[in-house]
Amino acid sequence: MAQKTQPTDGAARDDPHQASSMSSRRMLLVYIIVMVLIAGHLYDVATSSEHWPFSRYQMYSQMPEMKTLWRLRLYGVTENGEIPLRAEEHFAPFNMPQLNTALMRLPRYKRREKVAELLHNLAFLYESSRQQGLHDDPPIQSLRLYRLKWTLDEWARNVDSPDKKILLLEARMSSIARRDSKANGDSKARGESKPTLTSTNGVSSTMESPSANTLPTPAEADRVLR
Amino acid sequence: MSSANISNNIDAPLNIPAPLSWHQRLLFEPSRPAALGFLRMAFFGYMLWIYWDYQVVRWADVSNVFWMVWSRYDLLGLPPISKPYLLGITFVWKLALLGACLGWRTRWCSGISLVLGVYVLGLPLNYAKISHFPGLLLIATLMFWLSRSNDSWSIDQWQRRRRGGEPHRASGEYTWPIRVVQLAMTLAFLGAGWSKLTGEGWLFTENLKYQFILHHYLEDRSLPAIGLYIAQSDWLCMFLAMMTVAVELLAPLALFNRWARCFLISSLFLMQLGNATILGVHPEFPWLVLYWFWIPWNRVGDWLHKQMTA
Repeated sequence: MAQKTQPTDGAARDDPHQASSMSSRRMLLVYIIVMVLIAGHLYDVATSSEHWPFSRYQMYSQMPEMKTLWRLRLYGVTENGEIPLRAEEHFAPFNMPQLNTALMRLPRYKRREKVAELLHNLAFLYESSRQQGLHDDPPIQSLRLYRLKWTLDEWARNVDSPDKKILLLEARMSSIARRDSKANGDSKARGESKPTLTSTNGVSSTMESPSANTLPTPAEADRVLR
Repeated sequence: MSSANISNNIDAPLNIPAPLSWHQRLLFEPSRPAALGFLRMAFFGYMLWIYWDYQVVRWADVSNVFWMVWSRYDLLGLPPISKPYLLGITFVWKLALLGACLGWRTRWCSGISLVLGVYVLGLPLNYAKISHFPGLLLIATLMFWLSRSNDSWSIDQWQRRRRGGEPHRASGEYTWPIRVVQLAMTLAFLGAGWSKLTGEGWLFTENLKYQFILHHYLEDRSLPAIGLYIAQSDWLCMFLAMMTVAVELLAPLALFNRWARCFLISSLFLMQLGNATILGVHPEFPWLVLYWFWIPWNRVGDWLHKQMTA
């Protein structure tokens, strides 16, 4: 049976007979939607889980490290020297949080080939973004992954001068620009062509500081990722 | 309407209004179709605007080494597809957004923008990091698809009127979609507030102070210094932290009380605006369009109409 409801806004309020009713089936549909929304959100909150599009929205609820901070950051080596690289400009379609998270997962990779493949693909994205005009920086000769460490300053005066800057990995370009100019989205152009640490179809990736104590441990990365 | 007409009209539903329960009042209070129609136009127009340059096809260049399927997304069984298909899907999706914005074949266009939107907006979530904001945008799209949002401000309605159709009467059909989007939004804030309350001491530590500082180190670009100035004041940080948790936890009250709505929603809006500008979190502010669901557009329309006729 259709429920009748009173109008409350504007002209409908002035003339209640102008209001039309809703069928009970439609109302039931709305109630079901509401119940699913509430149950989905509350379940994720109660169980501290994520079931997209529901979530517990836990961002910023965890304590950050108060005194020191480290992060992984990519730099490009050009003819004029080393330049810091930004996710949105240099590695489209990645944004900064996505790229940071991807880099933080490096310690989880058991196989070094995966690490090389990741850097290879980032080098490809750099060149691809450059050719699409997303940035006007020059071609890079190599891509470097650094671990930066700061002692936090209340005025962030040392943002550009970290206490430590440790080179972890370097992917050297040789003919990637030539290959990318004819890139058409195939797996080879994306850097999935049998990557190795020494030679990967135009890009050679070498571990400059392969010792385990320079890469963040998975536990460290987990803490930052939270 | 004469009294004779009323007595003869056995369908007149509100001669004897049934008492309404609180949830019926919340969801089904009759309102005119203009507000929902205007919101549909504004919502899809805004989506089209912020995603105009968005090229999901770029994800085809990203190596599978970054692929990290979230179980909830994997359930849909949607793999990354090749460039031509991605180009086609994006084109059709934007076309559907335009159609839904104009109110042309609205049911079809909003349905297509929902189905393709799940893929287009959901695909990037599988690369390294989940992002929350597309979820609520898709929930709002679902509401427009299920509702009669084309009964006003639409080409569909214009064509209907040209064929001699009667204007639509006020109905709860034009209220519930807005209310459901409002509900989804307040539930998101409730979850965020609860996470902070039960997290590692949001209220009693210097958490927020360090968030203001940390983002200057974490962001690749420079942020305005105002966050650093706020961080220098312990009491201001404490106040903002407590206010953040309070307004997030109390957000559902905005559904029931006008004054709570004014205070809580404007506070949440300012908080998110601050996140976008001071902390650099989603600087494009995609949730802006969701705040429009809190504006009483029918009253705004009445006021404008009065001003113009005066």
